[in-house]
Order: sequence, then C-alpha cells, then structure tokens
Amino acid sequence: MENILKSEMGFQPTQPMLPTLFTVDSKIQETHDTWSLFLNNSNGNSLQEFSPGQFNMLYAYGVGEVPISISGNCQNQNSLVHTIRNVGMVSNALCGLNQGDQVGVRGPFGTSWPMEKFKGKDVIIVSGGIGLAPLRPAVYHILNNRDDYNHVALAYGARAPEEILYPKQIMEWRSHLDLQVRVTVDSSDQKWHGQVGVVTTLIPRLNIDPDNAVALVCGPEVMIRFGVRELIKYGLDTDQIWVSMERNMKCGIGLCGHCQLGPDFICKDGAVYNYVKAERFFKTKEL
Amino acid sequence: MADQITQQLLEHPIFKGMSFSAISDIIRCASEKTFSRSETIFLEGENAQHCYLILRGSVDLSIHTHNRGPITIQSLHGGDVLGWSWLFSPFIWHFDAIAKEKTNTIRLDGQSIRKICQEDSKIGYELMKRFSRVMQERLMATRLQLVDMYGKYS
Ligand SMILES: Cc1cc2nc3c(=O)[nH]c(=O)nc-3n(C[C@H](O)[C@H](O)[C@H](O)COP(=O)(O)OP(=O)(O)OC[C@H]3O[C@@H](n4cnc5c(N)ncnc54)[C@H](O)[C@@H]3O)c2cc1C
Ligand code: FES
Repeated sequence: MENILKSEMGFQPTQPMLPTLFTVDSKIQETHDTWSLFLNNSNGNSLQEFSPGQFNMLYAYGVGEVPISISGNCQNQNSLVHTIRNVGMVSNALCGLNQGDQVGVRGPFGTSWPMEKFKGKDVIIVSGGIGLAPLRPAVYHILNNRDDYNHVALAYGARAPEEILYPKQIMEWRSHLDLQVRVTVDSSDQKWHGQVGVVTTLIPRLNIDPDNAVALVCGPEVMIRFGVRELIKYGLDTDQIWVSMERNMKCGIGLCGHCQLGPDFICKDGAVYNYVKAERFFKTKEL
Repeated sequence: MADQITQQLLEHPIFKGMSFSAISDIIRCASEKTFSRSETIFLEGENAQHCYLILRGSVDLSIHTHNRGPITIQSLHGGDVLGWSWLFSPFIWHFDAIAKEKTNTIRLDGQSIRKICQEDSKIGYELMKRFSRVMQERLMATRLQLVDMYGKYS
C-alpha cells in the first residue's frame, strides 16, 4: 500500500542513476520478435518493490539503456520480469541476452495504475500488441485482490494470431469465470477461430457498467486514441480513463528533459496518466 | 412467426427506435434464416440479393488469396448487419461469409428494400442514414487495420 502511494506520486529510488547488476535467470520467446527476461539481483539482494505500470531503465552493457515496463507479478518477487520487443539497437541487445548474462537495472520509475482508487469499480483493460506487458501486473493485482473489484474485462488486440502476447496466460485468465477476456486480431488465415477486427470493436460487447467503470489503456498511440474514443462512446468520461504514454527516455528521473512533453516529464509525471491530463498530448501533433 | 420477426426487427440495433408503422413495409420483406456451423452464407462473385441482420451467432468475412488461402478480415456477431452489396449496383458480393457457429439471422430481400426506399423517400433517407452509420464504423475499423498499428514503426 505504502509502495503504491509512493509510486502514484512518482516515487524515486535513493540512488536513481546507479544501475544495479542483474543476471538473466531465464528467458522465454513470446512471439517472433518479443522475449521475456526473468532477472535476479546479482548480489543476491531482494528485489525492489514495484507497482503495476512502473518501468525500469534496462542497460545492455556497451549498447545503451532503454525504459521497459515491469511485466511480472508484484506479489511474486522471485524474479524481475520484463517483456521486450526487438525494435532497434538496445532492445535487440536485450532480447539477445541469455541465461547467466548480466544487465544493468535502474528503477522502478514512474507513476502506476492507481489500483487503490479503482477499488469497487468495474475495470476495463484495453491493450494492443506489446501494450499488454505494462498491463499484466494490473491483471495480476486484480486477480490477487479479486474481491476489491467488480466486473473486470480485458480487451486485447494483436496484429495476427502468432503475435498474441502471453497466449497461455490469456487462456488461463479465460478460465476465470469472473473475468471477461476478449481477444481479436487484425487479420488471420482460417487456422484462427477467434475474433477478427481491430481491438476497438471489442469494447461495445463488454459487459461493464460504464457509470461505475474505469479503463486502463496501453498500446500503440493510434490504438490508445481510438480506444479512448470508443470508451467514451461506450459511456465513460475522460476522467474514468487512464493511459500509459511512451516517449524516449534517458535519465528516467526528470533531470535531462529527454522525455519532456510540454511542462511534463513523462518519466516522472507519467508514464501512467489520467486521460484528462494526457488528452492534450494526443491532440498536439509532433509533441 | 410474423410477430416474432417484427419484434426482432424492432430490437435489432439497425432499426432500434423506429416505429412499427415506419418499418411495416420492411417486415414484409423479412424472413428468418438460420445457418449451421461452417455453412456458407454467400461467396464472392455471387449475386447479392439479401441483407442479413444477425440475431445470434457469429460470421467470418473472408477473402480468398492465391498463396495464403482464405484470409479472415472481420468477424460479425449478434446485433451486426451482414452485407451491403445488395444496396449498390452491380449487386455482387465482394467477400465470402461463413457462419462460425450456429447463426440466426433475419434475411431482408434487397430488391424489395430498395423499392421501398425509392418510393418513400422519408423511410429511404432514414434507412440510408442508419446503414451509412454502420458502414462508417466499419470503414474506420478498416482504416485502423490498414495503419498496421502494431507494426514496428507505428
Ligand atoms: C515507460 C515506457 C515503457 C516501455 N515499456 C516497454 C516494454 O515493456 N517492452 C518493450 O518492448 N518496449 C517498451 N517500451 C519501448 C522501448 O523503450 C523502446 O522500444 C526502446 O527504447 C527502443 O530502443 P531501441 O534502441 O531498441 O530502438 P531504437 O533504435 O531507438 O529505435 C526506436 C524506434 O525507432 C524505430 N526504428 C528502429 N529501427 C528503425 C528503422 N530502421 N527504420 C525506421 N524506424 C526504426 C523503432 O520502431 C523504434 O520504435 C517502453 C517505453 C517507455 C517510455
Ligand atoms: S528521461 Fe530524463 S527527464 Fe525524463
């Protein structure tokens, strides 16, 4: 609880610029270009607590450092889990790490999904592609504290069936009778028997009370914009919607200005924002 | 049976809010049609004679490709409208539609609906507004698919 409150206020660790050495304990290939790394603190110290939605700066030695959300379970602190999509130089190096390799970790940084505030609410989780990674800790949190939340729905979209993130886990979540799990892909051949269409088309079919709902949205920015529009059409107000913003980062702690959007530093004031605040970022092109 | 169809038509999102008198002519062009799992509803190139209002079940719209076989481009469900090609000349289906499970529909005769719209411009305009709205939503979804938003460089 204390941790959640601290992180909602943008809690920073004590030596934020100093990476801690972590070792890759294991690695899972999630899709053709995405891997999950399970990391252990190399000096055997216990892991830093984190809250759903927070990120770490991962340093691939000799290559560079990038922000990556924590995708594991806050209550299962055996290892630190990150799911990384290989899109460029640093993420390529991180995805190429193997068991026993070392990586520098700074964090956790940023705001979190305000799960305390959501107690007693219906919760809609809308995500697409790699956007499920920062939301997975929120799903874990809800499942760990199921009585605190009302109806819960996850709407997830991927480009194609083979690009669905965490398919086994999604199947496990589907087996929960009190969790609505809807998955769609943008297009598919006949081997896929599930839904085809963009993720926004899932929203009108959810069984959620919009008056008492909150929504957590994460994915590509286009998806967030259209997802939010559909949620508003569904009956939610902008202040019932939270989004996670992605911007390039360097320091991760509000010093360098690399992630600055208007007066905000995404690394410190975000990456999770209420949409009332985030709306202007989406409306301003090339911010 | 006719009463049941009337009720189903009045409750379907495409006609929701319209009065019985407004849709009384349409009721005469409507019949129930159920498709079993994997049954073909129509195929690309066939004459588009009907519009289907899906009540329950689901339908995949697909397009056949030479190398990859049929590619599903959209799934439709209860409350959705299946098919526009009955509205526009040359009245030919552009996609294949296959029932994914047992699917109940109301089938409207395209030619008769066009005639109603032609003769009664008030109802014609109302119907066009409603069908256009659904088409606009589909077009928007298709544009999002085109953006390839989950692509590496999006
Ligand atoms: C708060 C936060 C949380 C994040 N969480 C995650 C997470 O959990 N998992 C994850 O995978 N990512 C996450 N990201 C994104 C991740 O930080 C970036 O993908 C990463 O910084 C990219 O760095 P890079 O050096 O690998 O790529 P770079 O080389 O810096 O490339 C950056 C961007 O340029 C584009 N690009 C790369 N090569 C080319 C090319 N040849 N032509 C055109 N465009 C190109 C890529 O699409 C990429 O988006 C997060 C970002 C933020 C801000
Ligand atoms: S990354 Fe340096 S200020 Fe945000």
